Amino acid sequence: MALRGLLGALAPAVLTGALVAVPQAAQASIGVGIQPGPVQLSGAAHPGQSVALPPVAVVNAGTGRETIWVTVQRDPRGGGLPVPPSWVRPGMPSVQLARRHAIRIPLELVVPAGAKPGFYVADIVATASGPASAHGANLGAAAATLLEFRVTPDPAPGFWWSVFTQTLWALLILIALAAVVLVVRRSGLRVRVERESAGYGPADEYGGTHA
Amino acid sequence: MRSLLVVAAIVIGGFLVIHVGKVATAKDPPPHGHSNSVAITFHTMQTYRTITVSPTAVNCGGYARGNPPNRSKGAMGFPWGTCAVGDRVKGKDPVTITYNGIQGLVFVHAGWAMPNGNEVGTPWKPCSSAGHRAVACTGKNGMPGYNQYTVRNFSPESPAPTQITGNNLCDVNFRPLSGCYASRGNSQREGFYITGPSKIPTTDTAQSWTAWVIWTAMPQHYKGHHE
Repeated sequence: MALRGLLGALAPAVLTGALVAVPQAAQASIGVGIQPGPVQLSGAAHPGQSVALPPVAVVNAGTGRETIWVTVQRDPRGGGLPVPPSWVRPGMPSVQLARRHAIRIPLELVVPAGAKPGFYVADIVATASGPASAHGANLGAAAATLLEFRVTPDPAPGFWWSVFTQTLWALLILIALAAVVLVVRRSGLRVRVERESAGYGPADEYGGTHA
Repeated sequence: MRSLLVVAAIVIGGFLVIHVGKVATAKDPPPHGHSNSVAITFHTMQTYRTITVSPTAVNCGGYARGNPPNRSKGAMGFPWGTCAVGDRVKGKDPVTITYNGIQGLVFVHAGWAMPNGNEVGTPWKPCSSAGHRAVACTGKNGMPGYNQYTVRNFSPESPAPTQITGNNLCDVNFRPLSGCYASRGNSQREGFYITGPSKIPTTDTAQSWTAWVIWTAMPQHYKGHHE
């Protein structure tokens, strides 16, 4: 009797739990999101140069914990030169994100020395995978955003580079002058400058005026 | 020597003055008296582009085809055994794909089918017998060849199943009337059919495989700066 009473008391709680749990299980999903704006390099990259790209923001849009990895893929719609995947190195090969959590993944652009100058376009793709399932098909989700950058042939020096080189030259000249002064002082050389009294010249001979 | 030190000190001092002057920022003066603040919380619309797929894995059933004795109703036979996730005729479309965020496109591609766990088997590669033939099917009449397989997807609105390849391409079944264009909250139910290879290596012993189908939310159009 007591057991029946206990079951009667627990039944609503069990039913409520089941109602909550079943839809959640049925709605388990895998999902991923990515920033809508393209990843663009301000300025141009040069062959042989390695530069930091703006980081790309990705988010776990699924219902559970996911592993998300970032790759670079050729833009299927064309436009611009294709980016070899080896040129772009994500700061981390993959990240584990809890539900609704987001992260900014740093990206490094490594342009090889023989890179062709031009405008490059690719897709940065964030792919999410959940726990792998045996039998049948695993379903995946991915989200892409554009990657755009320009490669120019000659490294055009920027303003701060010119300031730096000019400052460096000035510093070198100052050090050289100081060294010359030091050497002259130590050697004991003295340069005597004497002034000779000058004659009055023709104007005086012929009656020039003096103040 | 002293003069050299003086010159060096002047130069270093000048540099320090310039750089410290750049870095230093004026701080706000300390507030006078007491102050209180109130935190205002509000929500914004989702701006990032997302796609969700539910459920995360599905079973392939309804095994058919293959030639006796390599034919079974409980497993994929050879050659060209088939299985199905859903049923287009009966209106069963067990996979739900939902797009969110700013307008974009929904692309889809198939990955390699891999043997499960510790089983031994050579991966099957998705091939296409029509349309975008990046990896053409090498079997008879456009059927999958050695270690190849095909995936065809469908939705309630699609007139016929469409082949999915290993290349990420527009999922025309996502919105059959307007291609694969997707906007905030667009959702579609889909199912698919899998056709196995003509044959597999005799050294393969795997009897349990997993294929991959991946949907991708793509930017709508390219806004690059052409040369």
